Amino acid sequence: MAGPRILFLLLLGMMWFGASPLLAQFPGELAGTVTDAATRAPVEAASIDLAGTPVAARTDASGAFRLRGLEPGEYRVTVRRAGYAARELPVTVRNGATARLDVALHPVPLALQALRVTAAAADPAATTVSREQIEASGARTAADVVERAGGVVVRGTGPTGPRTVSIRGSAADEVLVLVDGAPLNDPVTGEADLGAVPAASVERVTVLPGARTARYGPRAQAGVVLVETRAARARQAAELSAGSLGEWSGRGEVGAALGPGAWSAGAHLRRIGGGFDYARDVSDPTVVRRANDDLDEWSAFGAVQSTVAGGELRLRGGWDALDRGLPGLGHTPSPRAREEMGRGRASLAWRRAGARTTVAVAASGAAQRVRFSDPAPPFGLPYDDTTRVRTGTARVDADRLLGETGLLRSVGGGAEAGVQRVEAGALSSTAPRTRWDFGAFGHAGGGVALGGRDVALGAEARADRDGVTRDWFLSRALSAAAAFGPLRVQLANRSSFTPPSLGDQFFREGVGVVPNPDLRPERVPSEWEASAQYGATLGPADVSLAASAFTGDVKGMIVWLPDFAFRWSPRNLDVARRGADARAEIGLPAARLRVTGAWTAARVTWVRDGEDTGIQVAYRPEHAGLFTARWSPGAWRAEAAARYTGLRYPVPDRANALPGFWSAELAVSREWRLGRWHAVTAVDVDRLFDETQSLIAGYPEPGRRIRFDLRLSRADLHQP
Amino acid sequence: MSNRTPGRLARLACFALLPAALAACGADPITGGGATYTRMEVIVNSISNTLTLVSADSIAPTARSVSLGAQGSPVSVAARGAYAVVPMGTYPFAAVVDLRAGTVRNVALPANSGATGAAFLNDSIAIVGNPNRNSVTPVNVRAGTAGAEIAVGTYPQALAAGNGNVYVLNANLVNFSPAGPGSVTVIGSNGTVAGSIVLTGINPASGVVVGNTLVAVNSGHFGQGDGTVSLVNLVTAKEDQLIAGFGEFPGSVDVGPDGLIYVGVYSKGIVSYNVSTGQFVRGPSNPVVPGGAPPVSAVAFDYAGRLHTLAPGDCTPGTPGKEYGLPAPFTATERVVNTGVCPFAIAFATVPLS
Repeated sequence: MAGPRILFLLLLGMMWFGASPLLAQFPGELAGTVTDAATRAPVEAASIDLAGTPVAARTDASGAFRLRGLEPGEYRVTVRRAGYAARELPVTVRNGATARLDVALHPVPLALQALRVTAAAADPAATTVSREQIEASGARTAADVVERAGGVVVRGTGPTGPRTVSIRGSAADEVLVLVDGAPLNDPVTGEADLGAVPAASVERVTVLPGARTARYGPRAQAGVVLVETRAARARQAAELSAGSLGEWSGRGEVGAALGPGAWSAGAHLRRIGGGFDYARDVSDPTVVRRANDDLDEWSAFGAVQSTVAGGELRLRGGWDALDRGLPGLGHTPSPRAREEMGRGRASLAWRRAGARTTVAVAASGAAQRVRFSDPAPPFGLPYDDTTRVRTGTARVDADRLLGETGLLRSVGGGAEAGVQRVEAGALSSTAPRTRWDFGAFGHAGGGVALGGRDVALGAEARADRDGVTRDWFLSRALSAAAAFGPLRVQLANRSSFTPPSLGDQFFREGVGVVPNPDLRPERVPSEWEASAQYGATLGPADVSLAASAFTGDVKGMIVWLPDFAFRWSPRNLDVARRGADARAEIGLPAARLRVTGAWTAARVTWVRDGEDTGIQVAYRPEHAGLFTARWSPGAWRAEAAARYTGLRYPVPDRANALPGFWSAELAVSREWRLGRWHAVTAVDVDRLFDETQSLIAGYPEPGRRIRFDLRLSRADLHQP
Repeated sequence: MSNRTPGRLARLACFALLPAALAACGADPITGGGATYTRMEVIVNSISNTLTLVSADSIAPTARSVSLGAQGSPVSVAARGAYAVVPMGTYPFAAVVDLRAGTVRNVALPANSGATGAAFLNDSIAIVGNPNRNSVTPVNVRAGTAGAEIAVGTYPQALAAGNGNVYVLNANLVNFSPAGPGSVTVIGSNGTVAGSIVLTGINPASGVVVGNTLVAVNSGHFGQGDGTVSLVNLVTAKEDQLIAGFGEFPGSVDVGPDGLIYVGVYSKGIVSYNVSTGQFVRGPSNPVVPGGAPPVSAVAFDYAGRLHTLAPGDCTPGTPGKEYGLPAPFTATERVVNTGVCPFAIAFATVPLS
């Protein structure tokens, strides 16, 4: 540790003595459209400038623009286009949110008109993490990114192992993870390993808790994670990092304008040597060395964005690969278990937004090869299983705005089809090699006047045909929302389902595992969610509060359990599920301070013979919390985070409870200006106080980890 | 009148409290030989990772639970005096439980032990099986320490104590399948290997020593219904008899006060066999099934000759297993105790209270 410590002191000293005033990091966004005030037609190639900053953008053919990486605060936006009167507008950008600005330009000169814009997320429960936030956070993988969303618990097995997501106390296979629209969930296990998605590949992540099958399809039972890979940007960037556990990484990307759009490409490498000392077990203080926890990872991406047929076209592609050890339990290590993964992906998305009609077409494909092997496992038989998956999906949807008032104000719908070919050594010969899935969906929005107040109504429905069972499943989502000044309340009722994974249905039989021919899909017949949001400026503070309560029992949760002869088999068991989320965010723009807090309580308990046993499902923390404070004076930026992982039971009984624990993170960075280049020097510390607890018993954590980053970027023109 | 009412109330109170009083009497400490002690039944709950401690003497017993920790998959237990030893399966530790205080101390076993099977060699030393390492480890329950490994046969998965020795049942499993007949390794009172005995039975899984005979139940091949019982002469160190017909995967055995061999067959129930006549008293087609339905995961007789048996049910979360107590002639249930999830093994201990 002497090396990192000395480097840390040197870097800190360099930051301090070289300090100069400069704006700090930019976590917000501004998006909107520019239209012709007379004809309501989109205005293309209008320039959007933020006064006093180098940030600018141009509108695309649909009149849309987006400025990313904006520091929260007040701005003045100037919109110009030849033939129109320029407009200058004040805008408020809030932390981590997208402020909306729709501007109508008049073909004749007009007096300036003030406009105040307040950011509002489309879904009150959604959390979005932007590229700028990802870079500022020092996240290494998509799992690190998702972990910043409230209500999410990331379950991992050591610093380099697989990491899966639990939302509101769910299992990992009850969360759908879409990467550019293609499922990341492994078809054999149903789980998505976000630890295998480098953060360098990620443009944006959105987490939507709750039953989302009606919108996103099967497996979105407890929530959906939308991962958007890198977008085209006229930007050059490079990053070098080094830290504890022999970690080093490098990243580079280039991009430039391309006609009305842009292109970019980049690559990333990361290596962790691993190896740390730990006590063999809570019951055995013998200190041993962790081995086989190394990681090699690399990724590359390319993206093109342009305007085609009056709409925005985005092409993305990339390759992620890793080779890592799977060191196993601390007391029973597996020194030769390895995972090798390679995944290629490509996607196309085209979207045309008119004044009333929006049409979108998306297609994506992915090919993945994963090999797990251990020639000498500590127990069980040697294995060497390779899974090859090729996936293709296509989706078409359209929305039509019918009017601003009336019961029915908008309608939309579409269809989605997917094909998946799986070859897996872990599956039996009866497993289907190819499956075709299909889904059709529709939605409508409207409103009614109730007590003199406009109540917004929403309805979604979806029919899915499962490619394995060939059964049809129906899902729905209904919502009603009303605003009471700064307070917005919403009530939603949804249904969802999760089909068994191929591994549940078609695993290769062996000693101690027994198939269950009666296995059924999991269902959430009715999930209720009541939520409230409040946002206001109270004196010097911007205050945003959100809370929601949910209840939605799971019928037939699929769980692997042993029988009396210790033969393991998947079974359907009922589970009662209810809980609440709360989020609070207070910003003091004058002090450049922002404090956030999020807390989730999730009771996920077994039901037997119709009675709630009160016994929490194993390894589902009853509480989870995340608190952050960010202070960004001038060129400096400091962020501290404290994360709580609550009490959990390792067994399906109210026994052997593992107590909750806190872990802390600290990130300090300073931004520099080098001509047209921006440079950031940063120090990230995970497990600040050398915390070594783990969510799952038996997997040792190395405690404090320090990493030093140097980031360079140049971006004069932000593409939409 | 005023004098009679308290007397009537007292009698009513006594009558009302009679069952509790009886139960309390049953659980009362027993004094003998200058020491005060209580008799305790120790039940291992494999999925809960807990012990259920039950007073052995009461027909309305009290039960308490002791947590064994977050990890492991215990399926066996040995108890003697104030201590129980629970090999923790995939967790390479032996949990040493102080039955008086209900406290647990984990003793580290060799890495990748697969800890299964335990028996007491004396008041201080328990021998614990390491089936993944073809060895056993002596554990000093008083000091909380482990001794050096002792090499035994292939895949030792059960141990039985008797005559001052410990008999290690080697299942001879390779890749979890029987590779041939099992064997017995004898650990002498000095803690070293004193000999070995060749069996003809396949996959010995449980044993009990009665006099100079080791009665071992052999589970056989999974799914083939070829369970057997070996009668081993401990004087000649030879298997005298192999009794067939115990069906699919018998897993536990004890000898009753009536001299019959009682075997728990998971998927059937309790079968009994008379060695003298060479006949089943209750065979696999006509087993005793406490609670009305199998499975039966363990059988054991207590000091008073009562049969105790475990019904794990379907081992699903929120479903406690049951312990049944059956007095002679061991066909009807006298008491039922709820256990943790998936009870799998029983041991009895006479626990000194001071």
